[in-house]
Amino acid sequence: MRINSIRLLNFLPFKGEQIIDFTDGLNIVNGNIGSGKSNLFNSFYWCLFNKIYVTDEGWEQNPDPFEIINASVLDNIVEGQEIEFGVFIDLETDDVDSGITINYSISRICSITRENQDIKLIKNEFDLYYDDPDEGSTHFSNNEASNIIDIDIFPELLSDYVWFQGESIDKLIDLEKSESFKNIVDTISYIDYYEDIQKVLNLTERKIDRDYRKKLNKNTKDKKRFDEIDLELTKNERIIDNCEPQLDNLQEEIDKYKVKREELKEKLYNKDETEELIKKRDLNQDSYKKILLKLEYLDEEYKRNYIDKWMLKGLSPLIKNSLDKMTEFEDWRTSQIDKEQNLPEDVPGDQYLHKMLNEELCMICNRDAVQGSIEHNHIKSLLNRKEKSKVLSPEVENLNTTITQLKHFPSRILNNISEVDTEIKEYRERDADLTKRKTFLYNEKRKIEKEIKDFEGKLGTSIDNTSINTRRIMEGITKYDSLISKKERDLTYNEAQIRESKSKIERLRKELKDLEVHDSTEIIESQQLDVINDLKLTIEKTIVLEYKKLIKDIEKRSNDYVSEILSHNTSIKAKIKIDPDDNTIEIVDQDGEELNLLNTGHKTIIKMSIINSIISKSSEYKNQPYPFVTDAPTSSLGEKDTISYLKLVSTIFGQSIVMSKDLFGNMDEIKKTIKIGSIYELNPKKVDESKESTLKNTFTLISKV
Amino acid sequence: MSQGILNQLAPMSPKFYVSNDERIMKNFSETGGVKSIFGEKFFYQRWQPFIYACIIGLLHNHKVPFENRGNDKISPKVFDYQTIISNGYETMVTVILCVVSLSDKGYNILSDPQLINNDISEYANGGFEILNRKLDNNEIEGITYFLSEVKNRDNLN
Repeated sequence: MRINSIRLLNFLPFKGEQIIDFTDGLNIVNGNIGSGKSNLFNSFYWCLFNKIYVTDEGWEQNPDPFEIINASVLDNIVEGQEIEFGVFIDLETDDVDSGITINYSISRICSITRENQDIKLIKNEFDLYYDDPDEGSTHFSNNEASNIIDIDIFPELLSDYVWFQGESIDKLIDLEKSESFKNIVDTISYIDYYEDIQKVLNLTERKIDRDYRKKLNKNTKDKKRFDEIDLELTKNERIIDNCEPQLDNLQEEIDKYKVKREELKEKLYNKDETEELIKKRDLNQDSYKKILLKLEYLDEEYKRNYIDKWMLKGLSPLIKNSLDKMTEFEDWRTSQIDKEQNLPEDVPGDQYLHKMLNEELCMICNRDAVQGSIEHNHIKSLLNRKEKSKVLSPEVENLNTTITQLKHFPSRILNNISEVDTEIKEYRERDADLTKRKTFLYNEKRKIEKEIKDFEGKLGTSIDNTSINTRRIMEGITKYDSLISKKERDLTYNEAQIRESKSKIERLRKELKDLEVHDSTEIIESQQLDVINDLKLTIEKTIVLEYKKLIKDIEKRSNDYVSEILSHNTSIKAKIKIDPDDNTIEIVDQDGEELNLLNTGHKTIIKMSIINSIISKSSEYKNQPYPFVTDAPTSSLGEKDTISYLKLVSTIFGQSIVMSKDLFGNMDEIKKTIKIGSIYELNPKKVDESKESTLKNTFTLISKV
Repeated sequence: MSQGILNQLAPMSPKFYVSNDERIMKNFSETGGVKSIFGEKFFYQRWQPFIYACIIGLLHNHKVPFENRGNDKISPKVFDYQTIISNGYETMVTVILCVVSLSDKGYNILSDPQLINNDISEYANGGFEILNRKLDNNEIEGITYFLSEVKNRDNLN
């Protein structure tokens, strides 16, 4: 299989139509972080298998088309407009036997429109065209097209190992768990061919045996005994038919429970450290949240103070001046009243009049002024004469009301303004103090997160609050222990039943032979059964031998790859050791002693070497090479390791497509030693240069270098 | 019965150009409905940046009368003085006192709410002119500007 080109149409960050042509050899797509490499990687998977890889989350099957369309295109769709988006892949496969090359055009295309403000999906199609020199062009769509891809072009099971994200390599092969290696060998190896032959032989044997017994029934030395044996054989065959299909299921369940039990045991083993880390993390998170909250309150307080008080700073001279003007008004008004009420000196004022009213006596003429009398009422009418101006107009009185309202404010406002500088200073001090504390806690948070990540890396699983619930872990382990025991008992029972039935069948068949009548009507099926039996034994032995040989080959090839990549590194002499009986992988030194102090880069090299050796072995046996497509595989490797790795990849794979951010600096060195097919670069651009770089305002431009 | 100036002003609305509403008032306040140029809003309500602009106009004694600006119309009513009085009584009083202080009519302006509204609007218009110039020169880079601006007012007096 060879990928000729990929065409991207308004797909994720790739706005408009953009094409990449691939050739044999190493094809490099270089781009910085966030330039769209992972999205390009996803375009292969989405087109062929309708799934995308989401960083930190894993695979997402059948993603929402509205998440796939270019954000800027989606944002600018106008009423009634139809927009297409999708991916087209042109590839070819070689039929080794016939020498024919078949060209495939595969496309996954969606279309949207905007109607009454709503955006609707109006097309979501998956098509495959292939151009066979004998049969001409043929078209398939949807499920049929998916089946052709899976069976004839690129099995999805295999795809994870040949097209992978650097990030997901840990999930593909885990050195700590034998199951992950067994899975990959089972997925890719050719052992299944032998197992298919075994199945065919069993079916053939059953059919021939039926014919044999029919013939023997007609012509046997002892009919009664034959009937007894025939009945017994049928009974045992049924037992095998019932028990055999359960074996795989039981084994699968046992493996699954063992993995889960192992995970729980590891959690328990690392309980103390986990507990301490979680406590540290929670404490930090708690303090950090409190600081953030305090900063938020301070920010609110700052804005409120600013609006109510601080923004008035600088206005004091104007306010003082306004006070002068209001006083000026009051003086003017008083002078007006005084002018009108310019009373003679002997006219008593309000204070004296009140005294007269209280004593019920006019102190001017010394007459009685009893309450209710004419004299008393006269004195009363003289009260408040200054306020009862007849000269001041209603406008002046309105102004007086306003000024009476306003004149209390200046002193308070001036006092507030005088405090502004001190308050701002205090605010700044508090802000600086909290920010300093926040920075400290943030750095501490990052340190703890790194500690947790390293610890999780060591555990191979993530830690959370539930991981320290000892009682729950113990319950889980007990539960899995009992499930495993039960399933193992079932498995042993089934195996014993099958073994017993098989041995009975073998013995009964021998006995049947004795019942044959050796005359001219000799039964040919008897000899055929002998041959099939020999064949079955041979295949059984072959499977065991071939599996061991395959593991040895994989081990040898993996070690060759590792030493090739690390040839420049004299300090690390790591060797891979695979046990063919239990599929465990060990990394050892030259003396066969286990190596524990490998860094992430070395572990990545070892894992990729094992994967590459299995794929190259599989390609040889199945006679179908696949292109190698990978995103950021070398991010944890050093400069020299990266070049050695790419060199190795280009040796193993006829075509490889590598997306990376690290390669341009080493391009001269790479070109010297590796056959380069094509080089492309991904560059993020703004749709509108004057606006900021948001998702809707950026796209990726692919350019050939 | 006599009525104070605050009561008389309450139902009136200040004047400002649509361009100033769009570029400054909406951009600076959370109720503006547009994304802030700072990524974060400093003021909560739309009257706050208006009063801020008015204070800037008063501080610089920069009063700019309204004229026919073609496409840039006077904004239709967005808020009235009652909103300002209810949410920032002392701020409103301060602005009126400053208008009195700078007015040729002296305290007499307090008898004319229409004239006070006009003066407040024209000082805000002057303040907007100053703020627009600062935005053009990229002098307002983030919300910290407002605090530094207040700090720097010492040089004005």
